[in-house]
Amino acid sequence: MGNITRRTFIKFAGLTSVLLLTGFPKLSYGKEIISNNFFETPVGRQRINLIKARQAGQYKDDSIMREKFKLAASHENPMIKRFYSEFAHHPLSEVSEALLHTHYKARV
Amino acid sequence: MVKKIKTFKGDGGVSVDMGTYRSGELKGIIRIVEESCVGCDTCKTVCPSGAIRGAIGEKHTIDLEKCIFCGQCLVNCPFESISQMSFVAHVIAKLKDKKTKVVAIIAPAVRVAIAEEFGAEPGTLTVGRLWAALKKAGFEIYDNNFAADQTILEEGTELLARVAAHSGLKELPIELWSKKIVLNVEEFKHHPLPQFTSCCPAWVRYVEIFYPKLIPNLSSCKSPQQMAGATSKTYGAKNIWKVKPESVYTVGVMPCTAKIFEASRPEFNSAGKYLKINGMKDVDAVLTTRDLATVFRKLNIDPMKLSEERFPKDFMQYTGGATIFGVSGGVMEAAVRFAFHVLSGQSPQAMSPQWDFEDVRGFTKPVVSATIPVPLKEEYQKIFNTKHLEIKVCVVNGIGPDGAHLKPVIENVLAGKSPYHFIEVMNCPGGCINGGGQPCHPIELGLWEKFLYALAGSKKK
Repeated sequence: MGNITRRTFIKFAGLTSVLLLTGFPKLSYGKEIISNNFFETPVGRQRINLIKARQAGQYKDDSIMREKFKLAASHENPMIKRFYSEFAHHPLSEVSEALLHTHYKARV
Repeated sequence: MVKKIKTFKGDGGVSVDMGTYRSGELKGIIRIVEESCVGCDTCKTVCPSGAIRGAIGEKHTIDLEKCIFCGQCLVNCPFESISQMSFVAHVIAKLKDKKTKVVAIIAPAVRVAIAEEFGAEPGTLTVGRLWAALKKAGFEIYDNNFAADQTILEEGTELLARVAAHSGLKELPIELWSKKIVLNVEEFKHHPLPQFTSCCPAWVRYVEIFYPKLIPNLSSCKSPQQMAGATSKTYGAKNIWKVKPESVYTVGVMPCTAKIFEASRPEFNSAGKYLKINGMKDVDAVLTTRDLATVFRKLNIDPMKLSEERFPKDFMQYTGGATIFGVSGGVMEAAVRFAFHVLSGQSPQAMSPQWDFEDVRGFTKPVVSATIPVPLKEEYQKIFNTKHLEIKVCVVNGIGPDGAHLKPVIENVLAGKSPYHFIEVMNCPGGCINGGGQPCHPIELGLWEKFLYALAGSKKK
């Protein structure tokens, strides 16, 4: 490394102050502006490979269900048909409302 | 090698409504272990709700009024200094009682992580082996993936009802399994769009504490775990297992620590209400993925030594749409597959890539959005007066550090400027697969953490 010349110092200081004054460029994803992306934090970066490996496992299960069992979408599940025909009648029925739906409460 | 996480035995909930807790709810499911906390601040950088207090280098504490029990601090702590409430002892006692039918409700993300506790690579798919191990331990199985399919039927239909109501319709015909029903959708005028998913219990508590104005936007559907609990004790007990509802003990097996809280919510006694039995909870206990591994080890069961072949019957049957609930974008994709079928009248050919709605998959992006053009079947063309309906969806992949992923999306909704019909929110980045109840791997220490660790050590001397 050579000596830092006055010119290099001024360049560096100038660039730094421009960044500080204008703010670091915010990251944009689609329409939303995200100020702090977990996947780019020091901890998030360490977890990416683990997340990807487990995602791959989950999509592998999706292909097994579709290729071997021929079941892609929820209404095709034979047990779902049985559950509704023997018990709950149809989605949003009275039975569904009683057992499968709920309400929420503000917590102040 | 996975890390060992400290646990403490769970007990009863709070006895009266107090602060952000209601009577019966469990408080303090996640706790910082004071002796080993070095104050490195890692937990604070991942906490979605700003619940962690304490300056750098000082012992940190959790503000329980703000904590949503997601456990992100726990899985990311470099010093294993955060502990979890556990119900392992309760469940093992029930397994020994032959008069009790102990039902394991296994979440989608458990099957891609539990193998790590037994030495396998991350992401190893464990379905047949997991079922066989649970049977060996004495559990009956209600795969939560079946409940995910129930959720899609209910939540997908709810979405169509909201869209119809806000298009000015009074009723909506829906054809399922060649049977036609006509839904009265007038009351859905009071359920605004966008509809938010309600599967993630940490997100639900987050809304209730920080954005109560958005409660009408939340889907009224229970999470799959709670649907499974209520169905087990009613339809399951009577029609499938032919036992008394009181003898059924339901155990959620979850990648999640917030599910422990969810099961304790006072309104989740709907099976008891339906059957007129007092004091019956829909879900009796919740184990995390780590806890289930502990149960297996205590009973000397190694699932990896069993056969992976699967023979699904009854509540073990599930679809591809259900299993992807474990990843960010999965609930959205499953709902879109279902809505696409209902609106277009087309059947998903299981293999067709047309039914891979990859645009909604979160992977490792903090927010994704997509517009899905759905060709309408003739009947709907007349009703909606158009040939195509465009469904606009958004997926928030983790609430993000102090809400960073979520806030821009929510602010648009509050300002009435959100273009979406349906928004999925999962608290944990990546979805449930990266949940607070999953096996923990070492977090590498930076220089700064090493320094604080050394400093904490020298203070002890």
